[in-house]
Amino acid sequence: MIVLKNLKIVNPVKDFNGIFNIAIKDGIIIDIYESELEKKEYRDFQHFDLKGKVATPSFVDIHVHLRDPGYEYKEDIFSGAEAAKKGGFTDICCMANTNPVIDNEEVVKYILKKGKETKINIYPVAAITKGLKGESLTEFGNLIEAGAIALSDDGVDIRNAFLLKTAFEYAKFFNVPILCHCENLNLATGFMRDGKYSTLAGIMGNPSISEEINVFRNIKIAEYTGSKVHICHISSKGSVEIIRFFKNKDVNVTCEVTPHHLSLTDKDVYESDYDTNFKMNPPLGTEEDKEILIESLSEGIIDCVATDHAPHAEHEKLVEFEYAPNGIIGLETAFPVCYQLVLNNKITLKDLIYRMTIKPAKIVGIEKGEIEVGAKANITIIDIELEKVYTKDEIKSKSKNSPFIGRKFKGWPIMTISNGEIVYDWWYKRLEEELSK
Amino acid sequence: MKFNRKDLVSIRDLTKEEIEFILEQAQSFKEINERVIKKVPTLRGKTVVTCFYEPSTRTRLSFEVAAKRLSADTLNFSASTSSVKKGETFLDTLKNIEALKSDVVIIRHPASGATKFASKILKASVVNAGDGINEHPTQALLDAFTILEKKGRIKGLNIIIAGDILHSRVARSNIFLLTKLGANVKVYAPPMMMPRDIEKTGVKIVKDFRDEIKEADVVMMLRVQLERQNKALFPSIREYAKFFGFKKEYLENLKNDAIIMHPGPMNRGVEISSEVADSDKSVILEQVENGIAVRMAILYLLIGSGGES
Ligand SMILES: [Zn+2]
Repeated sequence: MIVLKNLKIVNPVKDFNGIFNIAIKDGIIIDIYESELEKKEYRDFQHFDLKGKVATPSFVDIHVHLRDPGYEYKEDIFSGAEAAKKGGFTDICCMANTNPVIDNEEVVKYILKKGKETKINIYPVAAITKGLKGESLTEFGNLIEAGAIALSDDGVDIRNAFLLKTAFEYAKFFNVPILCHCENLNLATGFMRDGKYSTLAGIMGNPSISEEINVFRNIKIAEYTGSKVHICHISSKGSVEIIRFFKNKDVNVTCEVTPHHLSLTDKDVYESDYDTNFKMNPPLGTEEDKEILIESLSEGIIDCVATDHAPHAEHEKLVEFEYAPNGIIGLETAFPVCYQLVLNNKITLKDLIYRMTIKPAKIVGIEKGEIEVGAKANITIIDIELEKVYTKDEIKSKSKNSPFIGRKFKGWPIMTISNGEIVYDWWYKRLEEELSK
Repeated sequence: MKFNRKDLVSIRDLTKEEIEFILEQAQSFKEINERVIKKVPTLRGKTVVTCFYEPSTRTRLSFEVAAKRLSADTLNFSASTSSVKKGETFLDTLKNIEALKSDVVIIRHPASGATKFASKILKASVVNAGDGINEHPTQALLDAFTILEKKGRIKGLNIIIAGDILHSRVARSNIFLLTKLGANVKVYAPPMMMPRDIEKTGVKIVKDFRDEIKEADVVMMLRVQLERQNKALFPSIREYAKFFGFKKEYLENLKNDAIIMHPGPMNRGVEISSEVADSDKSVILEQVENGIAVRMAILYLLIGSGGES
């Protein structure tokens, strides 16, 4: 039983004007009232004064690699969940490229069981093909019955177009979306985006068409079969154009963009002097791509933000650029990185919150409400004034592969409430520490 | 002028003044190389390690000769790429080399950026002897030295670099160096061997090679790796030679004082015909000779007392 006091509430849809207190009991928001009011009935509740802070629905991330089972040295479900809580997330979908792969019910059940202990919601995404080999389909029906929320071979695209068509048809029967990692492997032979900066850096480039032609192919197949398709981590202007084309035709397509593609470019790769924390797949695009991704997110052609949180151990990243694994962690920095767009007037806070909460939830069918009386108490508290440098020491994830270490951001999640319980609290912990000094 | 760098990893990092300073120093070492006794005690007691992840006889030899003429002790470390990928990491190898208390580590590596990576790890000086498709700075310096020797200047010269530009670290380092020193650089390659947005590095693209060499003061031919045929990059050696090689008929188009360069090893009859390679305009062997002087200068500037003058 808690009361969160003196908050500004930012909901994706319903507006609250003023400063409010939020009373929570048994995991449910039981009251929202103006902060001047003293309500005797909440005398026994624990009160938290959060003056000047912002409350939003807690965040949803539909693209996370938790590495568990199999690669627990990079991350496990518990450490990944801690990183999520710190970033303000209470609902995360984890990708199937574990070992064993999430291609059978046992792995789905293992993740769900372990996930329950984290106090946030972890939703497994099952593989489309057995062992992610792109050869034969997994048992969609049994996987979904066991609790898989969507299907994806993320990390690789399915080369065989016939197999992908079959997958779309079958997924439609079970009414689940397929999350597509779009990449033409014949074209994607480089290690950063092909262009001026790959030429200057002397690194083999990946042309943007390696993503775009498979974005087109995959949506076209889904259009033909009438299935739901979600495009993961788009990185180029060309992909946006293709998605716009299909959305204009009312095709059932959605897509996501990562915080790093909204904030970094191929120039950063070049200037990093072969820092492997700037190596990801798809690679960072050009300045023009970045600007168009930002506009399209604000406009809604891009449906949501997803982190593609991809932990890798330090020794795996401390190698030659070409040999380093792709990907960076992203849960803890997702909001601060994206909030810079709000500060630069590229997107409203309300829209950003929508694209980090209700919209991604809807894509995969997670139940997710706004902050309102009667709703589940899943809330993120943000200090939009807090300006601090992201340090390696503060990282909750087991892996530290972030290009944002050492960078300063304004606007950080400081408290996360999941099912009515405070699961992350940086703010009060710090206050207590200061008082004890 | 001071040369305060720990490493020589790329031309991209160097200023025009630093490049000119290295070239000046190389001049005095060239004089040593013309003496009867070519050895000087400059680097006595220093240890130079060559660490090659790709086979290369000539570059390694050139560095070794340079180190020995300066009286340094030399050590060799070789590893095939495949065994390195499976076995010890590059980082661990570097730490082992560090433990040998070497003063300079000369690295050739098939991955772009690997020498930069090494320079961040090692306390010892690192010299890049070629990293992936990225850079081969000592080659560019010796090419510039040779051009200076023949032409007296670099600024304002018309220079054409021709061949597989995309995969050529020699081309990249030369483009960076020659444009920094004010040459007009043009590049010529089959389109699938031309890096994207190459014009943005300050060079122009040759459309008609045979015609445009008329204006050239320097023509630099690059080695084409014949294995690339198998990777669907070009159809045949015959056709490459016909459309992209320097053929003997082209010689008549050259200015009298133009020079022809090649970093070696050459594929005679492919990117360069024998008549061209052996013509009086060819300075290919001088390049090899100058390589030693340039590499001596670099070692001296990095670990001798050459940092100041
Ligand atoms: Zn992916």
